[in-house]
Amino acid sequence: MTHMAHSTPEELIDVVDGTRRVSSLPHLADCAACRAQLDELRATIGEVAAIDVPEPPPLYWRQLSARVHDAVERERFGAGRRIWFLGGASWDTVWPWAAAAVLVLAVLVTTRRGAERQPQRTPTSTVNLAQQDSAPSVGSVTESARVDAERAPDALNAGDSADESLIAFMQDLAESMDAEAAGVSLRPDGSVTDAAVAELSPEERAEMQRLLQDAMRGSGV
Amino acid sequence: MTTHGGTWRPTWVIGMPYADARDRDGPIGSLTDAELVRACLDGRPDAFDVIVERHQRTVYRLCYRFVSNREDASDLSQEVFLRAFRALHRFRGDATLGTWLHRIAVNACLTRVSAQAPATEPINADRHIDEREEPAAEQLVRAERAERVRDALAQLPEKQRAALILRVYEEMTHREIAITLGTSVGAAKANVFHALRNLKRLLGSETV
Ligand SMILES: [Zn+2]
Repeated sequence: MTHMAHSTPEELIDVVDGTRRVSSLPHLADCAACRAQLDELRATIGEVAAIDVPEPPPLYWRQLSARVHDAVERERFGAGRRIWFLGGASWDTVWPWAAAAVLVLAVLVTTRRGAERQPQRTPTSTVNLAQQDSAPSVGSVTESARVDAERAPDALNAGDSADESLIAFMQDLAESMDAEAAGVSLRPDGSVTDAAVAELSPEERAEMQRLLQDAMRGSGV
Repeated sequence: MTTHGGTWRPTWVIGMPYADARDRDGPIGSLTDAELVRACLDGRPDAFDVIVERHQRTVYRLCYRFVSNREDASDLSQEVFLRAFRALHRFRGDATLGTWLHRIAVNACLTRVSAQAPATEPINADRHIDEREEPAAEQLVRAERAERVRDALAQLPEKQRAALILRVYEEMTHREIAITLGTSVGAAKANVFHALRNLKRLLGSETV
């Protein structure tokens, strides 16, 4: 019988696994080489299976969970950016509101600044919002807010610190939203954002502004 | 975040020290995995801490199998939980959370082993050994032998190593290994076969 072909790796592994009976491979009974091969495979797999993962010191698990906790917190709050006021809600839930907050604040600041200093300036984000016939990309919404925010310091040479901090906050928020969109390929529905803005009453907008300002004061911005 | 009558109200829970967050609002630790996922998605940051505490051993042990040292296993475990956190909204509950995490962990490990060969831990690394069970000399012999096997495992070609780990430690069938590694069932078996033969060669003939 030794003239027969040796057992294949697949056959031998099946025997080691117990999914094939030795009796189904008559060659094994006559071929010492294949039997030795089979014994070797069994011994080696037994040795590998006997290797356990070394148990780390008792405090290790607490350290690991604390470390993961910190990493998740950084993830949740955009590497320490000041968006902690959004609560524990996921970006999926919060995004339309965050976008609305940026836009509303952009409108408020731009309009106020425009009324006080440059009556001829068009509030860019308001125009942008009105032109959103189709769902905009994340970039277009946040970019318009950021462009507005980036322009703002030029008009603030007089040192209106409240506006400056508001604008800095808006920039952070806009950047956080951009980073998040890039990181998880978020594709929010633009109409949701529009609706979120449209549904805000003047009182709600004032409330949002107040909350954001409270948040900034609380975080030492 | 919660809304009351359409008015936005923040939930002021972020920035809370870790220990406080874990203890707040009663027995969150008694929730099932599925309930914890729901709580995470509803904005309870402490719920994810409980998920981590519950599954970190399993995740860490799997990671350690692939990288053979604690430092890399810790990094990899963190990566697994971060991936899970990012994808939590996609967890459908048709598998258990443990199974879902296991899948993420295997993928993270495969990515890692394809990127770099593991550096095994020296046997005198700080380890927790139960001294009640075995005399020190025998423990040392066993530890040395385990170290040699781990070293040999680390030297195997990537797919052979992955196939063997999944077969022996994760107790996957060859069909599952094939799906995981993107090969045929025959190739999965061949990988395990050659992994064992190469291990034998690397370890020499002394005891195997
Ligand atoms: Zn033979």
